[in-house]
Amino acid sequence: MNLNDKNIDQLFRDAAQNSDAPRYDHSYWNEVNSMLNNEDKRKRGFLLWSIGGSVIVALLVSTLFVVNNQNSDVQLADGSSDKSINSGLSISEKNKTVQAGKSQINIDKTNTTNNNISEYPTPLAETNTLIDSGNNTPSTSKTNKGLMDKGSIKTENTKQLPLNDRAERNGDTKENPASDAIKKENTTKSGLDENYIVESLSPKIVYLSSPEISKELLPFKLQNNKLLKVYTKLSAGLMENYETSRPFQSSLFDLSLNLEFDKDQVLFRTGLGLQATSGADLVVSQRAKVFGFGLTTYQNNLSYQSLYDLYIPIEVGYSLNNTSFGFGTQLNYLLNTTMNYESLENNNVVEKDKFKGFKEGLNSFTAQGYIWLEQKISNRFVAGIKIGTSLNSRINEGRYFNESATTNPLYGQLTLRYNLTK
Amino acid sequence: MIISNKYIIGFLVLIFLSACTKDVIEPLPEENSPIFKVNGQIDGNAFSINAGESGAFMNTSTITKNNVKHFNGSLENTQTEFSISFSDGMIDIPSFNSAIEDFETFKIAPYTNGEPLAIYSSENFPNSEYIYDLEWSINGEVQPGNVLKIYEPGKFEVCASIIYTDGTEGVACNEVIVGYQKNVHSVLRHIITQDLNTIAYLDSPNEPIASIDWLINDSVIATSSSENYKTGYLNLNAYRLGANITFENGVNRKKEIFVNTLSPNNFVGDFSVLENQSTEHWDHSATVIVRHNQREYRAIQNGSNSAVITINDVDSFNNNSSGEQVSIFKGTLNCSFIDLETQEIVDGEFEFSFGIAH
Repeated sequence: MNLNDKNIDQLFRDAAQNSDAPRYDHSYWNEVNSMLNNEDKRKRGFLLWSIGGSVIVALLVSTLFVVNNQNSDVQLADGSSDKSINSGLSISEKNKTVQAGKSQINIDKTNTTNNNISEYPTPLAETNTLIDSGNNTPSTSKTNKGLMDKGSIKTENTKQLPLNDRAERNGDTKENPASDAIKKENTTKSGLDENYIVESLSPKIVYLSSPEISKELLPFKLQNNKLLKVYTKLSAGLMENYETSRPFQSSLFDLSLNLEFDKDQVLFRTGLGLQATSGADLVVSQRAKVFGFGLTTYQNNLSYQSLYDLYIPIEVGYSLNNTSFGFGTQLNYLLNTTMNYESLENNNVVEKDKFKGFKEGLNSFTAQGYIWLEQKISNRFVAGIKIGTSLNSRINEGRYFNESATTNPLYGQLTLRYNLTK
Repeated sequence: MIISNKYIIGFLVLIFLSACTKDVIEPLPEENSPIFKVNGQIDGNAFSINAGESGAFMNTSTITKNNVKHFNGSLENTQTEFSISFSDGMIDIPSFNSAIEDFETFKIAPYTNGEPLAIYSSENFPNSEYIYDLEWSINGEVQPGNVLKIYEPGKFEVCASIIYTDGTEGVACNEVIVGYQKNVHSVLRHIITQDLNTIAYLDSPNEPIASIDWLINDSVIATSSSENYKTGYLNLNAYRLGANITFENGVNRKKEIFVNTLSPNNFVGDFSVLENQSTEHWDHSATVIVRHNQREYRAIQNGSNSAVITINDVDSFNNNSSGEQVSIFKGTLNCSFIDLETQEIVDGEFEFSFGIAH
């Protein structure tokens, strides 16, 4: 059965007219905002960063939402966009009927009925019923007039009906050739690619042909539907120097193995990483005033140059198309250091040495907070940027005191993520 | 989802490589509060000084002044000073060990107010009528004038070079102990016989003699046993006759006379006996100087001569920069002080934790 371009075009046009206009959904912002509010407000530094980060996140969210909505509106209202979609669909010989969820359109993973259908052509309505695993409501049946309005185009309010019920309701479309075509395509495609999810803020388009082509043509993003991803990330950047507070004097390198959970485009990430800080010049000192014939001041200066941390990152973000952003924190455990030791008596240096593995004067556990932004380069590589600061001081203020210019240096990193799972 | 083990293994290797052994840093010494300190009042003005604060430093030393050892401590800065000097005692007994840390009290040292402790002149010699000129030297230093005045206590070698009226000369040197206790009193005398031989002997010793080395012109000629305190017959014209005497109580004294058998009146007798002009003793006494509010005070004896420093505790502390052992003397002082400029007598009262080298 040949696909009728006109009918398909009509199908999308009707779908656009009868669906809810794409709107900004406050729930997303509320969700991000609530997560931001849950962060530890006692950390003054982090509070500042939270505010700054929130502003940035808000700007990013707003910008991306606006851009996204504009794209959706244009493509859905504009006949040419529909045509482009339509043409895309027409290219493919393997049409899929997908279901529009709240923000996703899932390919129907319906049971073996599809296979049966492929062998025995059935009316469109029946086909739609069989391949529809989404929600279908009576209102949809009433409002969706035309070739493709019988279940193949779903909205948020659709509810799924029993098979026989839906078959009855869609009885008036049995003779629709487009439906037959869809049914045919479905039935000929017993092995529908179930690895793809169609993402969109606007649950409009439900009809896909070749996933690869559709990804290029659709106004929304196709992404792998695996909820759990594994990736490594290499980060390198510069940090304020502890001793001088001057930027770009210290460097920060991270290598981590991470897991990412993708839940409705909200990303939750964690993992395990190693962080190397070099040129830190983190100086902690210990001083003793010893009275005798006079006063002798003894001082040990421990200038930590390199710090090696094992850390667990915890990130929350949001994914839009190929861009993702969010904020995160990482809990560090100090594994190792290199340190320049200097011993003074009455401000005269009496001994110098270099040590490894010392943690004197430092907290073993520290935390960092940051915001991040990533852009997908390919299926394997994602580039990004990360800006953050320490949430608590590395310096243990007990026996040692700090003469560094800063205890919570700012840092910025470029990140390169490599997906281990396809 | 399959992740190659090489990623995990590589990651773990990185973690293990980053863990290294630690070295050890010598811990800093424990902090403390000032050890050496003096608090009190003088002339009604509060006095406080702590070593290590306001630039105050505890200086300690042992010095030998006028051949007498002194154990000193001085806690001072540019504005304030409190110093104690403990004087040795029993200085005529070389083997006597003044373990000052064992003393419970130190009397306040006499204050002479510029008065000499001993005066030596030709008038003190029995043959003064034959003396034309006299020159004194102390510890090898020639003193101007014919009269020697000694203002400080100590043990001195005093030499008298005399020119007699007939133009002959005589010289003798004696050990003179001024301001300290003498544990033996004796006088070296000589007799010239008619045949111009000389016999020297030690007169009136109040302690048994252990031995005497007889010297002529610094050369030992004989050693007398306890049974024989005189020389044999010495058939010489003019010479210095010396005696190094050791008494059984440990006292050691050096005496010398000049003998001229050809001019028997041109002799130089044992003038060390003049050392007893002063009755004040500085043995194991404490000289205390206080500088405060641009005034300098010295502790003095009150009327009953009972002013003392009371030592409550002595702890060993450390060695000073000269390697001398320093002990912390904790005690009190309550006595009169004299303003060294105005000679005004004021009261002072102090409690101290003080360093003294010994």
